Amino acid sequence: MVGAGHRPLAEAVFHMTSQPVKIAPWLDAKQIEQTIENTRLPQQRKDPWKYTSVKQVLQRLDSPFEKTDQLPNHNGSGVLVGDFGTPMISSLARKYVNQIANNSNNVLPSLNLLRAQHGYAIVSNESNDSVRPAVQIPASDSCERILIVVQEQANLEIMEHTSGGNRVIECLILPGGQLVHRRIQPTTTHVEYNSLTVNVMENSSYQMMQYSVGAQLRRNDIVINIEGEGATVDVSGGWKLSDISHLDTQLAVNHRAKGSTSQQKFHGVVGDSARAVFNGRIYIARNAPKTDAHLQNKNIATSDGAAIFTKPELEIYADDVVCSHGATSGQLDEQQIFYLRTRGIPDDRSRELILEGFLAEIVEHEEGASVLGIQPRKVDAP
Amino acid sequence: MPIRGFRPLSLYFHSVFNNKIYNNNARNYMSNNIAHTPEELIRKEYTAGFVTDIETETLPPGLSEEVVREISRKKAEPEWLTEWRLDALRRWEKMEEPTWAHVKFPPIDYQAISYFAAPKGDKPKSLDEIDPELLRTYEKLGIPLHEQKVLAGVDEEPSQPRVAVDAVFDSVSITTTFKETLKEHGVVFCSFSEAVQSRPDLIKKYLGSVVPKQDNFYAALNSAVFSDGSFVYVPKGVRCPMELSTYFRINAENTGQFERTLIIADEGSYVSYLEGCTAPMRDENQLHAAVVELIALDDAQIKYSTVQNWYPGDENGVGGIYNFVTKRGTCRGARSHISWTQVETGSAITWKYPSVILRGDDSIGEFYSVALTNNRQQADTGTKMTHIGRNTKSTIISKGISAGHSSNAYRGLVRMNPGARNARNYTQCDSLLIGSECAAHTFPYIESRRQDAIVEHEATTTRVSDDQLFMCRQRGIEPEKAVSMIVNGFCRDIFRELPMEFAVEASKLLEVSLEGAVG
Amino acid sequence: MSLLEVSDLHVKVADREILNGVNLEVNPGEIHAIMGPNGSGKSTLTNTIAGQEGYIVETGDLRLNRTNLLELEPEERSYAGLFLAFQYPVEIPGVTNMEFLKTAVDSHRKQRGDTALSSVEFIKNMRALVTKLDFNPEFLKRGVNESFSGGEKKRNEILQMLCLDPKVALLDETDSGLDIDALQVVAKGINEFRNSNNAVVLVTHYQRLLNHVVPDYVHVLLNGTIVKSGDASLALDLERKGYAWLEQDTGP
Repeated sequence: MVGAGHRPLAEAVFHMTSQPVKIAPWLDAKQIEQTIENTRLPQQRKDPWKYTSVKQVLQRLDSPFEKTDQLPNHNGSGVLVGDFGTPMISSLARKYVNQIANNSNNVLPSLNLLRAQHGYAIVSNESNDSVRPAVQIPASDSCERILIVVQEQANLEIMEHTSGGNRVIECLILPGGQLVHRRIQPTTTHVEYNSLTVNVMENSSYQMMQYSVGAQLRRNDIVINIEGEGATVDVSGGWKLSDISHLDTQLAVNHRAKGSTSQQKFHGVVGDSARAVFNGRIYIARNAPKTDAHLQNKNIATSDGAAIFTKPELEIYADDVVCSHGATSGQLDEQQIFYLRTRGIPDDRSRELILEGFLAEIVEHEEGASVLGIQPRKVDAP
Repeated sequence: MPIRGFRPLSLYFHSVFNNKIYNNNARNYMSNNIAHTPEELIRKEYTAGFVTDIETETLPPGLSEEVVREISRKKAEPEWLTEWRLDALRRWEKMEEPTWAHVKFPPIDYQAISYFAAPKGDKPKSLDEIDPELLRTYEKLGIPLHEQKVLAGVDEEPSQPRVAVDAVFDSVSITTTFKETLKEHGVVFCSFSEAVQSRPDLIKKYLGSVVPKQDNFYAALNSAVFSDGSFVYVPKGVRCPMELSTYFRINAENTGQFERTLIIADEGSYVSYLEGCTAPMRDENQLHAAVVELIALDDAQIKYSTVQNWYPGDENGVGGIYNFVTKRGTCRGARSHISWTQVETGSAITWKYPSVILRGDDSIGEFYSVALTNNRQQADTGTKMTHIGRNTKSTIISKGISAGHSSNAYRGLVRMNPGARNARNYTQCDSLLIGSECAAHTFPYIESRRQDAIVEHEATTTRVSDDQLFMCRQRGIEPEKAVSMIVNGFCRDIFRELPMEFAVEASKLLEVSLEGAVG
Repeated sequence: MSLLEVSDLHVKVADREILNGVNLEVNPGEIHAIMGPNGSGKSTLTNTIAGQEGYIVETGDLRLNRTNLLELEPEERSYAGLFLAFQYPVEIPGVTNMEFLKTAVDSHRKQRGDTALSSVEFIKNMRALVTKLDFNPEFLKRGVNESFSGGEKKRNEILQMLCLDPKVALLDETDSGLDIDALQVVAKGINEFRNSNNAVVLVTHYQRLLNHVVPDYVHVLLNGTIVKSGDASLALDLERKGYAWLEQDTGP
């Protein structure tokens, strides 16, 4: 349904240019613009933009971006990194760019394509378990398009930093492939938008961790499509927000094949006048029986100005499934604080300790811990 | 209840594809017992589906200022109320139907609906004057209009609690029982139209005070054309001596029912109110857009229970009631308490969110719900708890059961406003799936702007498992009985909240609604 | 005349042959123990006898008191006098134990043409049974196996067995995961139950239950067939030597 009522918003803040797609010249810009015309445009204060200003995101996208051509660092063989014209990559790019993130419910990846300054692909062929290739996606405040392909049985580890840009990632994990994706989101004063779409094929696995702190406005759209039997998806993360920062994470795990499992687990601490928005969705299609899917979101507010908006959604069309979700919002447990104080730990330190413990539950990586300002849990202490 | 071809659906398909295999299951080679299509397994009987043959006065279809004025004129309403309705109509004309609910239906032609239907003649002054055909209708439905009878026929012992009934037939209330007894306690229980005449002070003060006329599309429509409904006022410090109940019946064809209920519990009072609804089986969809407003002042308690059994349509989704209802209560006073309990088995489409605005400090809001959908029914139902006052508490327990090809969604909002010091909410939201063609959804919105507010939400989705069925059968319990036992167990927390007579009725209703749903 | 007769039973689960020719004859008054390592087909045997869906009998015969069980639905097998104590008792949230047991007992009575027991009578009977077995009466008010500990679940199975008074009771690893106190309660229940007209088949991993309930026969199930039968001393041998020596005996 294209409601005429909400079209002017996008048109007022985003101007079509009808210039060719810079990073992927084989794509027809006219056709993309046509798609945008025919797509339902986001509406302010309506799901999925109920609590975040889509106007600011569109305005940012319409303003000039820095040019960059920095390619990610990587650690050696079995992995290929290059722009979409690179031999060995161009055929994959032609096949998948604008295909994986081609979502009729979200027009932003198409808009990104029209403005992208930089585009590249990361392809892993490495199937040796002991030499998992590691790639660093650097922070950038540009408008970027990234394609990630994990070939059959291959491994890949991604460490991604985001910082105030507009980044759309399309990712495909072919059968038996494994991807570990860590995303670090440090402080930025920009309006940041990230879109991530992952298609997970049979018996492959996708593990993602996302750690975020403040931004003027940061929106993460994550869609994970389980398209093959026996795939596993594990997404976790946390945020610690202060000042007037605004973080919105919209995460959908779509089970479209039978016998797959997914976990979503997010913990957040929100202080000062910050706002945290979380929408976690589990969708189970009729053809996806024997699915096991769970979602958990816990929030602690540390000030009265803090606002928490969370919605754990289930949409289930198959009966032979095990599904649960839970969400909480509250403050520090006074009993716990009292307990620590009776042991001689001052009030402030007690609060810090408990918050650290709360976040440590979802942190498994040093850099994730340091961005959230906590000590990582020592799993194998000597 | 005959049990024919009763087997798990999965087994049914199993036997279709594997009929050559000598399976370790008796029915698979006793072919005369096999249901031949899945449709045969999903049957449902609707016992309230008859039509009362009675002369009705109906306004021609269509909605305009003139129609609104005509309804107001028929009820001899004061000028201010006519204007109130017209204002609602003007606002409604500018509004769009909400599209966010997880339901699908063809567009409704609001000009094809008749907005008023009533049995011919003046309102009867006593039971003797009521058309015997109408009396028979309520008798058939098991609703007592004679004062010595009570619900579910358990009136043998005089110690049993009595129930006062307001019977609404299409657009008008035909009688209200026990009015005199209630009057002795100062309780006003009468039709809405009557209250407009007898208690204009209260109507003027509270009408639209909880659900403003422009609140939403259907509430605005109701505000323009509402015809009748129930009115309750319980004075200060009075504990209402009996259960009050309204029984809504849609009978006329192509008619919408737009009733309006207003309950005011003054300081320190208590009232328990029950609501039941049925409609004939017809091939056309009929619209029911009611508004219910509850007001609880300091220390008052209102318990509102609904057993909703509007005609749900046939197994192909033909016919049935569109139940688009706005129900909301305000805990206006300190320590006031409002609880909604609902058992929903009817309607083709349900769009309903009984809510509580927790304004008074230390007030309590509760929502207990069982929503069962079968065949092609669609339900999008839940609640809103808006915490404004300090130390306010709310509890939400929702049990959704989906069978057949139905779709059942819970949609809820828990909002903790900045002033809601130490507010608490606990939400539990469970779905049970029966068969592989149905759908269950959960959309809980949580909005917290208060550090010391605690919100907890838990949800699960499960099915009646083959293991549970097998264990029951191993102990000698027949499958149909086993499923009904499992479903009743799933709903136990809610039935505990219903007044006793209704709990029995609700439990039976689930059984009938589930008949044949589990293969 | 034998009470339970299993002849040349071949069973497939998900297209894999799990049982290939099991024979077993159980007479009134007897206690049989079926032992075997994980995956030998013990649970397949008990589930097949009880009529669980998905266990496909390719050939063979199953009779209880001469009635062909293969023609019966699970509840009809129950009426015929068969009881299975589940290895993993199933939870039924919200349905109280009492309600569940009464529904089961009433169904059995109806089948026999008896009238249903009044609630008062039933509760009286249950109280007596519960006391005899040293169960906490609170047990009856809780949801069927809902948040029961492992031991409580197993005791609940024994309670149901005594309540339904079957002719043949199959106990599938009822002893596993029990502490010594719970084990004794279970053993007490079994000894309480047995008489010269009924029979018990214990399926177990370990010898320890057999110290409290002495079997007349011990059978070893290995790779889907019974490879050895003997008296109670066989169980002690197995405890000492494991199963490997038998495997060699029957090797391919």
